[in-house]
Amino acid sequence: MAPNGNGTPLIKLESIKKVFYTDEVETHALIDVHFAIAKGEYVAISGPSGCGKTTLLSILGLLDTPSGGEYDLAGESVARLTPVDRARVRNRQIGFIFQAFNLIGDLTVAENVELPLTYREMAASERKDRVAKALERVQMSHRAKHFPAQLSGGQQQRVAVARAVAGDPAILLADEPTGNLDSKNGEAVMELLRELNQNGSTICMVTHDARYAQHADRTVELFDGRVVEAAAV
Amino acid sequence: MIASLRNDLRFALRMFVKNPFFTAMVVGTLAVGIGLNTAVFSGIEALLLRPLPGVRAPDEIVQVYRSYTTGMKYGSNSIPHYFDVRDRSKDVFAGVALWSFEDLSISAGDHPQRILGQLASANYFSVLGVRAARGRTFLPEEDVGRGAHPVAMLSDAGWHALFGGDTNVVGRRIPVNGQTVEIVGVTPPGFRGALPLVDPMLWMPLMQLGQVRPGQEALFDKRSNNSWIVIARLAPGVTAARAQARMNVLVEQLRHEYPDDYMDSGINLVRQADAGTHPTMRTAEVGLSAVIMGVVAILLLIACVNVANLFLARARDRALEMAVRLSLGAQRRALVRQLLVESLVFATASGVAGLLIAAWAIGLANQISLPIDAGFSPDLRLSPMVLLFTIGVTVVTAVIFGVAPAWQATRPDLIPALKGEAPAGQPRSRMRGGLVVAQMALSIILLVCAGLFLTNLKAATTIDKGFVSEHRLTASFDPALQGYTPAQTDEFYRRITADLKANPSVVAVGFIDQLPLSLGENDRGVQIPGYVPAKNENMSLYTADATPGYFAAMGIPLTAGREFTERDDSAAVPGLIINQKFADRFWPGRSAIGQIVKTARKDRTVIGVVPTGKYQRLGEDAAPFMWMAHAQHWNAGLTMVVSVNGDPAAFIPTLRAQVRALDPNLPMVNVQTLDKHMGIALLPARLAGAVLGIFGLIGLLLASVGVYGVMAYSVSQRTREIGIRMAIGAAQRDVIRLVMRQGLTLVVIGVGIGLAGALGASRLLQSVLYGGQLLDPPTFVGVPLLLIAVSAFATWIPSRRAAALDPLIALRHE
Repeated sequence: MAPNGNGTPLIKLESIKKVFYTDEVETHALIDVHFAIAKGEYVAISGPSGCGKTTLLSILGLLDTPSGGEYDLAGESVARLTPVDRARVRNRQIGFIFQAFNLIGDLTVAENVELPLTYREMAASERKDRVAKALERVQMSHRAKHFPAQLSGGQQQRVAVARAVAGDPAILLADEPTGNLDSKNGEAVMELLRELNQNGSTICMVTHDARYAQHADRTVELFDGRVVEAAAV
Repeated sequence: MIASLRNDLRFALRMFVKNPFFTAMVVGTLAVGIGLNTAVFSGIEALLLRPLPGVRAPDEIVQVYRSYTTGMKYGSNSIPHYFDVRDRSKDVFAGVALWSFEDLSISAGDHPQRILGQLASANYFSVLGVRAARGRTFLPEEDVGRGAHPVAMLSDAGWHALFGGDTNVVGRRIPVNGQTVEIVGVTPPGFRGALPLVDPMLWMPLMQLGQVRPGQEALFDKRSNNSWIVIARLAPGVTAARAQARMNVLVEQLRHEYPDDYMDSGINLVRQADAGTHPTMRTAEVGLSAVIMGVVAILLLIACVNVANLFLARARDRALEMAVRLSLGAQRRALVRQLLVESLVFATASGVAGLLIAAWAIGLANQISLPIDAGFSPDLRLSPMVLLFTIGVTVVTAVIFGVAPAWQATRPDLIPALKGEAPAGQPRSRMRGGLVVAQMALSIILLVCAGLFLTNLKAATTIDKGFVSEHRLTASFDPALQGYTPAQTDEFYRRITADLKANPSVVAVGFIDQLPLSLGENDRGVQIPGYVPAKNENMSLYTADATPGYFAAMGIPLTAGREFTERDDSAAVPGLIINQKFADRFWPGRSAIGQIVKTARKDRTVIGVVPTGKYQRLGEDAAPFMWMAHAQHWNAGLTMVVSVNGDPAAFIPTLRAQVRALDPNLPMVNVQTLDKHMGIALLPARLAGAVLGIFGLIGLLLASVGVYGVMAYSVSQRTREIGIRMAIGAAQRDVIRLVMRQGLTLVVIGVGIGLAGALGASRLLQSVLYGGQLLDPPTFVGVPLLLIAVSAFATWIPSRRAAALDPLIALRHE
């Protein structure tokens, strides 16, 4: 585990378990998962299909709750957060990048990037300023008024990255961010994430592709719901 | 917050224009519901809620009625009684006015015509707070001096109808009932007097009673003639209760002065807002309004359920969007607000479209003409109150159809939704299934209520009315209005009867002062020697004046005694013909012939008995009725009934020619077949039948479209499952059975719940049904069968489509 500067990890998981119940069948998706992510770190979670990568990322992103164990984010336990508090934490501390981009087709590029900021009751002028900066970071300013359907896959993912960083979150969670892209665009997105990390962003990326996992500072290997290896790259 | 709402609104507008077909479906469905509700409410507003138009401070106006211990609470007034109230209650009333409807013969153009006018005390306009739009209203001095004020006020409607809006109309002199009167003013547009729904053309001062009703000037002093309507304006600061207390004191005084006239009677004040057209009609008006409003409200609910289903389907398609918004930190309430703003945008567009539909429906309703000569003008309009109602309905509609989909849409299964996987459909299926059940239940309630009403009305129209309406013609005359003396009037009636009887096509001719099943009623107190009425027993009974030949002309048989003959003249012993109900009430088990009835200030001998018929309404209970011989209880205005062989309508030109041959200038009104006259009595049935029939059909259509929509969507969601079933050997008929079973199960559950609801609703309907059967088996069996059949068809279409799927394509379906 690599602690952050003041010794407290940004993310700390202890004995995390996740069990899905369907009818009479119990599926143990995560079993006794321990690990931590320090501020400024770039961590890849890898493993084969069905090993629990996405489940783990969902728990990290407060989209799902663990069946057991302790999860501290920025030194605070998230176990007792109300749904309203969890939404607030997602909005201010976490930035999501999805495999399928998940841009809203009825909003323009700028409106998509602005979306998380609109849920903060932030002044319109500040929102516009942040949107402009975020789009500039991913070099998509010239497409601000376009709709997602008018963009290529790689461009859509860059917009999704802009949306994730616009709110200046504590950590970026990327779920197979290159999964829907060809290798060239995939490399470009990985380069973008590298740059963000070098500029101070903390990143946790799920991938099953070893080539992309190498971009991270270290890799956490999952197999059948357990962490089998945590190694520096 | 404002910025968020602005964002929500911008996005909602984008969603509104995104899918024109979806938008058209939603707006079209809701617009029908909102439009019909608005149109019906505009009728209720005009009938029950609208203050007297054009009247200053209408809240201060009260109706002054005579009440009787015999049970009548809202009787009319005599002129002397009006003078007493006017002159002796100045401490509680700012003014008291009198008026009555009058048929007037007027020559505004080339030909004389009969119009609806009013006689009114000169202070009528000042009591109502109305100023002339042109010229002046009546002057205080025009309330003094009988026959000395040949002047008239025109209503705005009369000004346009009779004079084409001539701007020089004030000062014009026109003949009214054969005498010249000067038009002194025109009332403002909108003002229609002290009675809603009817437009009088012209007012003349009460002092011209002798001109308007030739030979009836004696009514100025006749306390027994209670045929005048009295209104009063409360003095400033005086409540209706205080005025009523003052009236009670006045009645005590009058009882000492005129014991015969006030022995059993009092004065009953009713606020105009509560009286409406007349307090006796209020309950029926409110009941019928409630039924029709309830029916269209159910229709709107069905439309809302349809739209909720469409939004639920769209919510499923928007699961990813909602999941993304939630993952980005949106609070659920923010998403619910966003979706409700979207609903409100759709509802607002529907409200606007609904107003267009309402305006169209209101235009149609305003063109309804009653088969009567009464200047009926419903004047429905999109008034501020109606618009406020529409806004309210629109907002409520948005909430009704928006809440469930918003609730559902903001609870997506986050992780599968974000990964673009189909979410588990179970909860959504339950909600959509629940909506189908609700829709079916509402449709059953709507259709059963409509069915009960129609069955009941049909029963009312096919009952024995006591006379024959086929092969008969009617025509109304009032020769006195043309200046005929009573002798000339009688001579005219005798000659037209003789001329018509000479025609081989004519079977019988007779006259009556008021045809049965007309609007209005005549009743008169009776005393039966030897009969002691019970306390509060109503001894005021329906009456009419008939000539010899009337009963034969109407096809009314005599069960005992004889009809009136020419020998029943003013010199003969006054005779009376009664109906069986009359006979059974006062002489049960005995012959009524020869019995004495004291009425209209004379002892009258029963000379004939006829079967009991219908006199006021088709749905009325059997009521006693008596006919006096016209020659023994004379009045000038009569309606002729001619019984002919063959088509009565074909005989109308002959009838007109024969009347013109006697007097080319005599106005003749309501020349029509007796079958057509029956339209008055059948009007409520026909109107309600048409309205409820149309609403029922729209409800059925909406319900079947709703079921189709749900099943079609369900099939599209189950495409892959159906592909798997077919791949492992399911035949087409198995797929059809699968889909239809799913749909019809929901339908049958809904029908069951709906029948229970309809049973409860039918009890509420009881007060407005004509005593019909509440548990009408054809309605309670037929309606569910019809709905199930239509729903089965609506389910069969998507099931056929499902069965025609190519398993290979279906298996690839996401």
